[in-house]
Amino acid sequence: MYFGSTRLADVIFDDFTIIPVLNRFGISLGVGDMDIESVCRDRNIDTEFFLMIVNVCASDGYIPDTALSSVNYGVEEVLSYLDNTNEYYASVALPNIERHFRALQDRSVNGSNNIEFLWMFFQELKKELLGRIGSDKEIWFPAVRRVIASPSAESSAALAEIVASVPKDEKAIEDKVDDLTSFFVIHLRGEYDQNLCMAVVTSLMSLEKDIKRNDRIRERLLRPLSVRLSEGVSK
Amino acid sequence: MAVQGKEYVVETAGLTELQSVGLQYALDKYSDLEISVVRREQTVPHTDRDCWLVTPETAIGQIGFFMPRKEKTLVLSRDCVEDAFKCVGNDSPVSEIAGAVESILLSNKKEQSHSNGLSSRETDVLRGLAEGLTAKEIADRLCISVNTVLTHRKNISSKLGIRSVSGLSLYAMMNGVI
Repeated sequence: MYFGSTRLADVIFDDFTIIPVLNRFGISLGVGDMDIESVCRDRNIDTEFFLMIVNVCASDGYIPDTALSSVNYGVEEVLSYLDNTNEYYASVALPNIERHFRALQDRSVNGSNNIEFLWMFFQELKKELLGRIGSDKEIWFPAVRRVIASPSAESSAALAEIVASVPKDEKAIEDKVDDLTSFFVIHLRGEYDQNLCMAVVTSLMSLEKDIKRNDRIRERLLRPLSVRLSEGVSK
Repeated sequence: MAVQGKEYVVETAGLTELQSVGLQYALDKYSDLEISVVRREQTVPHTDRDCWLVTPETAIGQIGFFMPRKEKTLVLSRDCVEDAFKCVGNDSPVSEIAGAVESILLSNKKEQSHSNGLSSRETDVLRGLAEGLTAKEIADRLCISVNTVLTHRKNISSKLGIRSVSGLSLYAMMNGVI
């Protein structure tokens, strides 16, 4: 559990995969010796919200009570953070894995391994993740913003319907990233370029961890906030 | 007669209905394994069985099917058949027949693990999943309960490190299961 007085560098030393999460707040490496509160103040970041995200990311069991106690707190911040996360997946993480994967295919001996099968599976995973990102961007997030911008029974009902249609604790994408990692770690056969394979596996494991964190934020922050918003206006 | 929801399926052709019921009773009472007995008038070659209990005529008549499966086949005869099959007297008490069946299942159990760590029954379930069958359809095909299918599914995922259906299908494709 991190606090405002925690040195930000220590958060990174504890788990370097938090770096992309910090990037989404506009924080780059070279954080100096400052504590979280000072870093947030300097960059005009809401410290409470920042701590909530970092603690959700750092601990599987952490459940932020802020999201459950107040309707409007941090809704736009959460949406903005999730927009940045989706953008990171679509523009950085997936293309990065794809680039390494293509190089792995090119540099490996054709026909002597099962990398082509794994490539097919990656394409399926990519399509599914991009589909969810599209749905967030086109459907869920705009519906939340509509309720905040112009509250009405109609916009609340529409949001309630959308939230209900998003499967709760959906693990399909998490499972697929897990599976692809397992295919590489457990079931890879034949000859291949070991360095490139390492690059694919490392980037996949980073994505896997990030998606699990992201899913926790969707479920523990965005979903309860969306439900509260839709209920608050329609009552 | 088939008892649903059991781990092993023994198909018999050659026992009377009374013997078949007696065999199921003896297996239920004395064996630690979960075994269901499927009785047929004539054996229909069916690969989803853990053991066949057949008459010498059936074994010889379908030698092409039973010979490759001789480790899973028990012939109801006092005399050896083709010097290949395990035999038990057709006039033996059902408890003795049950013991012979259990012995075949136990000896095969050790050899059933494939290089991927899946038992033959788990491989059957994986094949069904990869073919897009529901748990109910797989259960019907293998003469086991839906709960048993779900348990196999859980074990398959745990052994392979693969959870999604599409991942399991890909694994089945990569390893010639389908």
